[in-house]
Amino acid sequence: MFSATRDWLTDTAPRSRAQANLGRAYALTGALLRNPLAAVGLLIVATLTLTAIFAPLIAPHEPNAQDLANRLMPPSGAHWMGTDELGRDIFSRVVYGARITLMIVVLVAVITAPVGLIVGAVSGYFGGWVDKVLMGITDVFLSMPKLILALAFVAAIGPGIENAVIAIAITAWPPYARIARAEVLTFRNSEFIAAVQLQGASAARIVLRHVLPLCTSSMIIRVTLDMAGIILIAAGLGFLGLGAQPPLPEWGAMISRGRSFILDQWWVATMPGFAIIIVSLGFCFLGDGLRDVLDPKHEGRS
Amino acid sequence: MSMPLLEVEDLRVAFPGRDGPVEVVRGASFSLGRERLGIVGESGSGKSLTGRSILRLLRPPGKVSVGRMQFDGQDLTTLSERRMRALRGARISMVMQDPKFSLNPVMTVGDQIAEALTLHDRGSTRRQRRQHVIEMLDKVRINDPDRVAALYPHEVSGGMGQRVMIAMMLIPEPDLLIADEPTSALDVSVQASVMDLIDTLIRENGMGLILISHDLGLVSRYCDRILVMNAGKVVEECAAGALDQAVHPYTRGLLAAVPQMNETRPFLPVLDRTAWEGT
Repeated sequence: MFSATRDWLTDTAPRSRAQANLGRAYALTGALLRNPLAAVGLLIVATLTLTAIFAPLIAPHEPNAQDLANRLMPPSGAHWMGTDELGRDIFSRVVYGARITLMIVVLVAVITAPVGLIVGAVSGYFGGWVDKVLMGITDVFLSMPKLILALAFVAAIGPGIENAVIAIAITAWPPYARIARAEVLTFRNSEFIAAVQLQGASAARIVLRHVLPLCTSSMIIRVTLDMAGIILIAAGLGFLGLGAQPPLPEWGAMISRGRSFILDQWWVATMPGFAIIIVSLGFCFLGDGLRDVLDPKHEGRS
Repeated sequence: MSMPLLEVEDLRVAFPGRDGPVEVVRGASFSLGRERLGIVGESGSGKSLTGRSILRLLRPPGKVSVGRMQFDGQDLTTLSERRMRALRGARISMVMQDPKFSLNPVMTVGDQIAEALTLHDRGSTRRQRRQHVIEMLDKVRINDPDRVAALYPHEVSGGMGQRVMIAMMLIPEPDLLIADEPTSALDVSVQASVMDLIDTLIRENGMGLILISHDLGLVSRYCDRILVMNAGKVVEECAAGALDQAVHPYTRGLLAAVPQMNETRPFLPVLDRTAWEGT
């Protein structure tokens, strides 16, 4: 039965549009999975997502349940990653932390990608002084290190997870604007844009309906690649006490708490550290794999 | 010919050069009723720029200056950009040269044709628009319009692409169609059918047509009147049938350079520019 499905998917003469599209998706997935690093990345990201969704089912303990009799216990059968200074189960906290990490990543992506796209597209499409002003602003943001800028913003608007998201979003959009602008420049003088212009379309309509869709594929790749960086900045803010506030099980904040015991009770700081490393690597691998698969210029090359 | 549909007087287009602006169109004047006007000339004679300046869609740094340009009683030179947009597509539209580049690669053919309707006819529902698009595709003689409407531009052939382009430009039923070398990117067998199609639709709707081409045979066959342009100037204007009686040396030179069936000349003559430029 599997081979029949497979033949249907790999049919070179598809009989319907749906079949062609599914076949294409199948081929892309296949290409993605043939790259071992990308497969690992996909696996990690999938695991992260599933963990976040099913956290209450996976975690053996309440993430905030304190058990002062069992504080700073080393990893064991009862507590797979040990317990922290308040006797909370670190494994459960790491599992719940996946939710926070994923939420930050998704929120930042949802905020920054459209902002960057629109700023870049407007800048590239209109050119002239609009371009100069918008790119000037972009350059101002680009000229400062992301983490420092995010720190400054959080310090200004106050610590907390929502503010951390806003601060990261403010610092993360400029590269997207740059990419979108570069893409738009390559086709803003093309004939099909002239064609919609002479159909009488307004500038806003041209940018939104005709220019933006052409930039999305490079944007998806870039956002995936940037997710690792976003996770690191969020963890960094958490570590400095400017991101998620206790008792939220945010990985960066957990490392920060464990710092005091790092020599005697290494697991308190190390376990969430592993989580951060693995998830960042996962997004990097996935982004690299996606770029290889989605970029038509690389197609046919291995 | 009663009141002319389009009147252009002293149209000039200039591009900045190293030593000040270079005029590419140098004072072209013509008028047009609901008829078919052909503009011929060699490459770089300013035909396409003339077409684009009428729609005020010249890319910077090109600069247009014009003595008078009126379309259906409206002065095109002073119209606001907003009013101009309402005119583009709806009243004047333009078929471009190569369907490969003039269709958006990430939108389906049907959506692109519907775009003009969405822009100019806000009252219609999605379903009506779709119906209209299918009818239009049928009118440009595309078989199985339902299927073609869902295709992307890379999935259609050149001839089909140009038909789609024509459908896209004719669907709002404009009064004037500017066709800028609509068949140059197509192979010969498809050229005739595309031109016949444009011709039929123009006649059916009683529209005006400006056909820009470098193909003398094509223009004399499909137009009523012909303008010959050279180096940015209109050098000759004549009825299509009377092209062989043209007097300007440039036109005579162009005509002489057209190969004949049963050719007896050993060489095709080359244009002798000294005859009219004095250089």
